[in-house]
Amino acid sequence: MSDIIRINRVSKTFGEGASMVTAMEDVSLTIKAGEFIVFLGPSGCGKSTLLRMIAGLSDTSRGSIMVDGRAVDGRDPSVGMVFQTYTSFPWLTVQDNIGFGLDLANTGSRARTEKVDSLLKRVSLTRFAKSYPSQLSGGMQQRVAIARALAVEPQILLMDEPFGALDALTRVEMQTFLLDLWSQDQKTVIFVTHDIDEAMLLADRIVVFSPHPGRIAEIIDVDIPHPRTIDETEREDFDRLRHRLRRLLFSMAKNAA
Amino acid sequence: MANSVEKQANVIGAPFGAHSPKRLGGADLFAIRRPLPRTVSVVLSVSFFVLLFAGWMVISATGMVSDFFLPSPSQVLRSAWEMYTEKGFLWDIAISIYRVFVGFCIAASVALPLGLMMGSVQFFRSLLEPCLAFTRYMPATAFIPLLVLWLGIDDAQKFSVIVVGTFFTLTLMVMVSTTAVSLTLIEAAIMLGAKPKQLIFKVILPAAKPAIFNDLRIVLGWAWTYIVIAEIVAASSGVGYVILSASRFMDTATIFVGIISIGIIGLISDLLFNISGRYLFPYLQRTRS
Repeated sequence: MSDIIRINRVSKTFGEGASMVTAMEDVSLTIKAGEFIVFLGPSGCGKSTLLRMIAGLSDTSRGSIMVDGRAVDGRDPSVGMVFQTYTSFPWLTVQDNIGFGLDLANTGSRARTEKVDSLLKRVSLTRFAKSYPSQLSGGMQQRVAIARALAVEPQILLMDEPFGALDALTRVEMQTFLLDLWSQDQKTVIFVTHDIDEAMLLADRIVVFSPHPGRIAEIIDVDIPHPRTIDETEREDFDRLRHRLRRLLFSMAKNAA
Repeated sequence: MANSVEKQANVIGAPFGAHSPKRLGGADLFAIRRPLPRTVSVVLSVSFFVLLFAGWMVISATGMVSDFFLPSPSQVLRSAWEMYTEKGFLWDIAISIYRVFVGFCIAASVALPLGLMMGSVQFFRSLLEPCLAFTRYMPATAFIPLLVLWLGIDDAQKFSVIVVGTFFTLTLMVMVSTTAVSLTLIEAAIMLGAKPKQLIFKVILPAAKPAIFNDLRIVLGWAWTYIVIAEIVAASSGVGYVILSASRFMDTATIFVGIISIGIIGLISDLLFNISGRYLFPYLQRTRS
């Protein structure tokens, strides 16, 4: 597999002079096409900041990020993003939310309809095509957000704690749903979370960040074959990994305190 | 599924009292943030109007206050009947509505795009906000003598008083409503490929529209204050002119009718805004959180 994202010695600072804060220092990482990468770490470790820099929503202070061979400079059409907060456009129905990116690009009406219909089916929201986001549950809203991001066919999907606001049961449901979706087209996914179980269930590789300033503490391969289900999380090797990640994160918390 | 979600939404939308009590005790009437049954609410609202009216009747009937200062309800009603059927007061109302409408449309047609740009692009905000904030504090009424000098006493002067009275604040309100659009919503659109122009017209404007609509509703109320002042100062028609001439003849009943009529017009315009809001923004019904 070829490298699709190269992060080379990236640092990020906010503010100037005495009030300058270093959010991220000297981070390098290479991600292969089709990988499912999870950024795991406590809050303040810069994992979301790095995601925003890959998305082109935020500049690097030093270092460079290459996506698909191009240096990141603003939004790249090969990158899609799903946010933690519900970002469906409240004045548009579910189908028009999903078609939003296609409309921006003036996609022909037949191609648009076909695309939107097939995405509605993929995220099981066909029945809600004409509903407004305010009529949907949190899990459904995030499925709309995922479908909307996929509609413009990005190669890379960035997900910033997309299930953070959901209740525990819906969260597991959504994780399984995402794995299912990912197994169909193997897009490159970078998924930010601070939930250890979520990270283990989803990731090919877990990149663990430590805070103040944000650095990569460790990169852990998860050698459990796909397709995975929630039952896998009860395996013994999963338990070992869970302990290891917990110790890692809690030692950071102690150092910070 | 949709149904259960909607039910849930209703609970979330309600003030934090979970349910209204089956039988209302005295204490329940005054419970903090507990909803009252709808019938009780309506009875309360109506009874206050009735109380006010009754108090007015009692005061005039006992002769505590001379009807020169406080005309009796029957005098006001008689006066209203005469004004609406014989004296052509409807025509004066129509003229005032026309002036408010034109003046307000002029103000809004500039304030909306300007506020939208100021709320979206920092350049325009830095350029214009201090100047607008400064001008806003100048009382519009103080401009009236100047506007009479510049524009005479025709309709142009009436329009200009309304524009001066509403434009500056309306622009700033639209700017604030625009700034309130969540940055994540804008970033989500950027990630879907929205260009700056598309961001403004396909994301920021539709997202801010309900709030801007409400700004318009509020500021339209102020326009009525300014039109009456402008008509009192210099006019030969309109509600303000009728009120002024009535005071020259010490006809308090007519003044009352004029003032109450404006209140009713305000109520009707609010109602129209609410109804059209429901058509314009169907997605705002049953909003979660």
